[in-house]
Amino acid sequence: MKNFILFIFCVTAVFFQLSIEGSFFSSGRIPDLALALVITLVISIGFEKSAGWLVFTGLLIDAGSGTIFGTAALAYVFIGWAISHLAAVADIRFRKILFAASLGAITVFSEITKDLFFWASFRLKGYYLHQLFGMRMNFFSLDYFLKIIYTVLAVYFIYYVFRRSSRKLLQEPIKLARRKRF
Amino acid sequence: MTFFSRKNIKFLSIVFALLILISVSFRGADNPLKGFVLGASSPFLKTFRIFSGGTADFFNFLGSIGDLKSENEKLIQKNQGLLAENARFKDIEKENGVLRKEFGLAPKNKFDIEASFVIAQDPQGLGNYIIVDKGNDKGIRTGMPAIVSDGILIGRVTDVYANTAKITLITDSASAINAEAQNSGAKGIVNGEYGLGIKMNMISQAQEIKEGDAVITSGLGGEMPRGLVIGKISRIDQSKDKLFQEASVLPEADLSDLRIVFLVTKF
Repeated sequence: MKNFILFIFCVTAVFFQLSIEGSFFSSGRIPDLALALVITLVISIGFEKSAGWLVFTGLLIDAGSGTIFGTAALAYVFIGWAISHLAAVADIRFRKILFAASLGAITVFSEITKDLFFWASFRLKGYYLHQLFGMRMNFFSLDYFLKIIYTVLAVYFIYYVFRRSSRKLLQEPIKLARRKRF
Repeated sequence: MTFFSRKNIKFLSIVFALLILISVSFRGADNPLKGFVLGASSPFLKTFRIFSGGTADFFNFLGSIGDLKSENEKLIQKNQGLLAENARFKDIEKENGVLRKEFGLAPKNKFDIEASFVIAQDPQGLGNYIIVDKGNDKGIRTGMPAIVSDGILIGRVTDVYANTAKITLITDSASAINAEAQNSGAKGIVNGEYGLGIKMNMISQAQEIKEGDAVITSGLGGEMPRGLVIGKISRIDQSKDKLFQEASVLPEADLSDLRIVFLVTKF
């Protein structure tokens, strides 16, 4: 049941991102729902349990992207692994404002990291395919700023929905990722 | 915590597997995989797209109620102007037919087109492209131009799968199209920029171009038919080295909300 719910979450996030968001947001400002889900999963159930789902979500995004197959999956796994090292986030969950701020900061860095992965992927593809014009990234534009803001809001929303549904549908909360103490 | 913890080993093994996948995905080796995933999800994506389109239209309608009256008056005026223009064009068409007959010219063929439904679009907003529900099964090939309405160019087919295809829009920075300004005949190359902008580059300093001029495909190279509308010149600048002129072009079609596009299969 838990796996089925996670499957539905992943597929819905990707389908929304590929097919629906474009009707509501202009190009360049589309929030990254898949990344929002990745962050939620890693913070909620930990990297080890969510790794398979990060790869699955990444490969679905790759199928609908112009990137080399596997790039998004690699970016998500890297981001998930990096987030899992920030164990302090799991520990401050009870301090709501501090947790929200940490979640926002994690999302901003994750979004930039993911876009750098994509940028590198496009450059690599362009280099090997000898394309005349490569992809240009503009991290200092209004579009990019809004995209990050929308993604941060998406993280808050998905995190909230995920926590609520995991309690209701599974009859038991999904175990939170906690810092291992040695 | 040791470096070879369970988590790190899992991370490294996934990264290793993905790097192998990425390395075999080069040069289109990933096409069958992408095609399979897109083919399997195509019906769902289509349904989601139709639903979202309807919802977006509804919200747009609610937001535009206040402007409807003035817009309606403008449209009535525009319609009257178009009716007069249409009558003039019909007259010219008739004259054109007579002249072609006189000179023994074959009638000008229109394009063969394949209507297709947009099922998905660039999820990252980095490269501008869309995915449509027609592919190899309908004879779609790489390089075919994609248009909307009656000859407004929106992009070109760059990847074809079994029953879907990827169209790179003219706003993508990897897109390069031979174009010309309709009034002056000045030739150049239209490239995309980040977001929704496009630029016409490499325009000779000797050619005169004006703001508001229509930009069309020149047909040079034979990859595209001549005369597809790209947009209108909105600003004229000099290139950095001052050797050429460059112009910002406003796309004629609304590329952010495409639903149905036509692929030119023969021209």
